[in-house]
Amino acid sequence: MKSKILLILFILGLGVSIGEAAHVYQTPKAFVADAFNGKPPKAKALWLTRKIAPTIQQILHHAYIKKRVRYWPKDHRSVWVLQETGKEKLITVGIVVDQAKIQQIKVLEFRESRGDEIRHAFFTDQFIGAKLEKKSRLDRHIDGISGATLSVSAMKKLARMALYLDSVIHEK
Amino acid sequence: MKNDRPEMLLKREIKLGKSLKPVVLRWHRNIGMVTAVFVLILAISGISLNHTESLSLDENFVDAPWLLDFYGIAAPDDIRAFPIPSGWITQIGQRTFLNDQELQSEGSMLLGAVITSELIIVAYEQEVLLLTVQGELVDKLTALAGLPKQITAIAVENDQVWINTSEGVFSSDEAFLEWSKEDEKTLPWVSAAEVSTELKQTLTALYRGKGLSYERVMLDLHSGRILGQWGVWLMDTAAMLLIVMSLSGIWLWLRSNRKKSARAK
Repeated sequence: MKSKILLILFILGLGVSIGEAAHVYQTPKAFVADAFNGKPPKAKALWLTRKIAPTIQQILHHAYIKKRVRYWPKDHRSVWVLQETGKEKLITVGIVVDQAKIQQIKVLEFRESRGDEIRHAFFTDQFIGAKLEKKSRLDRHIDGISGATLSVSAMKKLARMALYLDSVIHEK
Repeated sequence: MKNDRPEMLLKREIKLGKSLKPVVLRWHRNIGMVTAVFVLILAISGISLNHTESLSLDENFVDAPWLLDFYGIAAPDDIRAFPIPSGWITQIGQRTFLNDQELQSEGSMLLGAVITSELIIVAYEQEVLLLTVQGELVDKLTALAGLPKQITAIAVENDQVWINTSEGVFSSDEAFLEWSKEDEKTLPWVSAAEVSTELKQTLTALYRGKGLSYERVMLDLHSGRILGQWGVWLMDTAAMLLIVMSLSGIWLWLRSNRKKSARAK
């Protein structure tokens, strides 16, 4: 049979569903204890007053989810446990600020289904030594991670917020 | 003789094609009519789902009672209510409300609410929410932040807040940053109030009001799940018919092309 046969191939895409899970990498309590070599100071609460809230709004592009922030200060250091939404869910991050510079930043809880690459050292190490410039911006460029844009953005915002709040408590 | 064979085959093929064409054309038309409705549903729901965020389909909720009833979205019967001076703290299913404002809780059982001179304190089995009198979230206290585990009751006495837990009785400091274990003592532990019919109706409407998003309806329309498992089979059948229609359409098009080229010769 000389007639040509027309073949149509249908490519079936298989949807891959990715399960959602909340990962607790370290509890805030343990993070704070580690930051102070097992002897954490008493926690304090900083209210996001009308004086502080506008800068937070400028950094996050929205109001912070809570009206106050818990922190642990000792000498020139302060430890913050902050939360910000990545794409849809909250990411909890622990940040140690020493002499107005980031000493450590760590993802404590991650609830999103993707973007958890931000917890790895190759990303978090970029923040070490970062401080605030004018307009509450970081003094350096932080390289993004493809596929984790919103988580990276959340992390950068929280780093700026911690540095700003640290400057507020040391102004007092 | 050698050249006659392909000619014969071609003639036979044309003859077969002639007899098949009306049948294929009839079926092509019939299937087209049957699948038109499904094509419309798939196209409209598909376009809507492609623009879920800009259309805010996931943030808007169905309030049509017939559709909520069709989905079988009924409010749970387990309602817990605690009166406060500015109204009620209530829980229906796993959702909690301060009057008609939903609170951001993790969904564990609501155990009570008390007020101090500045705050409303809402206790659940696994967390404590601190709210301003306007209902803004001040802080969310959980075990991860040092809250004692498995709370069973909450009380307030002289602006001091107490919780009863599986590990004993604890009192909070003024800023709710630290919880200290205390000796057992008699305290005015909060207990749930009786729920009036009016409050139950209000809560049922609130619960159902955010029970079904437009995104869910569009997804179910697209997959056919809006009609249950039979709906999925129905959509699968429609998809198969669309495949048949595409193939028959291509076949008819190729035949008409061949006829045109034969005439041209």
